[in-house]
Amino acid sequence: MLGELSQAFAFIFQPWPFFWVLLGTALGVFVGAVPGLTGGMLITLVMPLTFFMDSTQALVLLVAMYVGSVSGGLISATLLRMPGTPSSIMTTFDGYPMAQRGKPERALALGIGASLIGGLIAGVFLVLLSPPLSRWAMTFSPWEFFTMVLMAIVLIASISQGSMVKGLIAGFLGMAFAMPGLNESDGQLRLTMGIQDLSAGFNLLPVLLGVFVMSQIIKEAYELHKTPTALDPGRGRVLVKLAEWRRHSVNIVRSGVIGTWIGILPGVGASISSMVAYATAKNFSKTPEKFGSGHDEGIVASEAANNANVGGALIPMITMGIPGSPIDAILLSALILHNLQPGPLLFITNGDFVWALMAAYFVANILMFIIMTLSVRTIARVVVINKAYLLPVIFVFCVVGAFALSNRMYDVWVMIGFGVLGFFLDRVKVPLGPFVIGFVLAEIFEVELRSSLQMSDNGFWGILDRPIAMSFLAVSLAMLVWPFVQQRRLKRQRQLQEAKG
Amino acid sequence: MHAVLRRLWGENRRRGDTLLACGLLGFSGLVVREANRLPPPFFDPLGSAAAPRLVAGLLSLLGLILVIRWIMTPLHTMPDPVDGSLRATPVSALAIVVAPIVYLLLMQFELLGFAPASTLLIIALAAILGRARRPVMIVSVPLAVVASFGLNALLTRFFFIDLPQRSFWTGAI
Repeated sequence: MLGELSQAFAFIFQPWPFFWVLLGTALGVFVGAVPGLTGGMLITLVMPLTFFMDSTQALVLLVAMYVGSVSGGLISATLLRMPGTPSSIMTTFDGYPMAQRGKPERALALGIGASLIGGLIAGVFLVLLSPPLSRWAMTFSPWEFFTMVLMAIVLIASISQGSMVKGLIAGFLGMAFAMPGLNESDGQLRLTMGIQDLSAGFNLLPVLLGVFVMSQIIKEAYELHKTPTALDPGRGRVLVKLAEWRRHSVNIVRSGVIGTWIGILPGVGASISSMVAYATAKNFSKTPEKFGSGHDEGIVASEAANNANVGGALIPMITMGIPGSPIDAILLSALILHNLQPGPLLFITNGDFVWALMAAYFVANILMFIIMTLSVRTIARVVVINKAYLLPVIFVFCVVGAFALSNRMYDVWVMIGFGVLGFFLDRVKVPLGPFVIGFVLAEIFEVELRSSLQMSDNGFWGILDRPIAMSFLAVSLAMLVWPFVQQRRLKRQRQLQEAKG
Repeated sequence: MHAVLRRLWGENRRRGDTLLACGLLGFSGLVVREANRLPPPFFDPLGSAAAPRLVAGLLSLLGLILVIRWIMTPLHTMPDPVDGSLRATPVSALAIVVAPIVYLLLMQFELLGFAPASTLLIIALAAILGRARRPVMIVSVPLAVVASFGLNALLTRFFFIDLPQRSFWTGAI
């Protein structure tokens, strides 16, 4: 393991791979810092340009963007009270009040440092857990893969923002849109409605560009926000003394582990990690009353967890081909576009590639720390940039990206169509993350279910012979039923309290 | 009946969810109609029509749950959230969808090549997003020219992407 990792580091420190990691991290930090622009947007936008790159270097670039974008969100969360990325929402609760009290450098330094340590903690888990998990996943039959995909969809629907019903709608709608075209299992054309271009279905890239980028541009035009004013990031050093980190060590390690663990759960994004870590830090704190008023512990917990989530979410993606978050679904599609088959065999067929990704993850975290510490003041000036300059150029990039896929206008029309759909879904509070995950996982879901039934002598009851698949199914059912049970319990408690009071 | 309609249409969120449920039912119907046209399975017990039918069924069910939930919830118990920091501008949103459609049609019917069409699009989008304010336009016009022609040169010469170049007016740009 150490030999492979050191070889991977040697590769990453070669000029070109290092340049891509540096570029990806810097771009990610910038995009993450600008409210309204997200890491998912950046990665989707850059993906078509990577067609011309070596697959390892392309994915190294995208992973660095992922790391940078999650970290960059803390700048606008601290100085604007607007999370640059959804995962930084908890940072606004303590980062902004601290900056308002005249300590912006301290708030930023705590956030940047916690992001680095949280990211590195998850990196250790990534290196230690991925090889054994991948070996374990190789023992899986189609039943296990089918139930795992089911679990991913239910999990993301139940934990994603807002109502579970809408999360499920998003997931199944994504699956439905992945179905037109030539069916992989039996070569049957379906759901094309007589449209010739639909024979190949909807390509993943135009769908992603539409849902993540085009819909955001429409949203920006629809919602005229008041121009934000950023607090001054100050002139002091954006660093916190080592002794102070020792004081925060328990909180930071706990939040890092929470972030990693939630990241491993299929489909659950970084915002949930930071929420859970923040709540846990508050519960364990000796001064919980200070949370929300500019408390160190709140910033540390939120930022350590959301960065750790990135590393955690890479684990199921690398080892099983199951996305740990919506951005991982995009990375998964990048793997497919570069002719790399995600899944447990990736370690065997492209071991060097996997280790290079892990090394890139570590290096990107360290570069993120250096870039943000040195240039946070410059970035702070740019975060309030007028999006009327940025978004039109971004849109033209989207058109090129969709068109370049197979040199046809049809894909650009698909992008616009999904942009409009994404905007409407967002308006009615249907989350877009599960939609993308459903779209990416639909094929695996169907292929594995059909393979399972072909192999089974007892039809669907064949699942009873597979304990791991049964446990995945049980978790899915429990996740489906739990919110209703909890609701009933709360209702009963309220009734009891009313009766007493 | 009137009370039911009021519960489905009385508030913004209810209206949105009712429209979503109607959309889901219509979409599911379309999927099932297309799935019914497929031949019976010959390889495996499921066949190609099973997954679309299953997903369409689940979507219809979830749409019905949405509707039933609002019918069961009395009005004014869950007021629409108000965000004071933003103002909705649906005309701009419509314009931002129409502008790219016109842009694509211009290229598809070879009225303009990629670079000039993109220049016009960037200016149009900047005008919509920046409310056509003068400072925004002063920056956006040169930005549009540089970005469009620069991108065109970069993508066609270095990345060999075959962007639409034919123009009705000049033959080629």
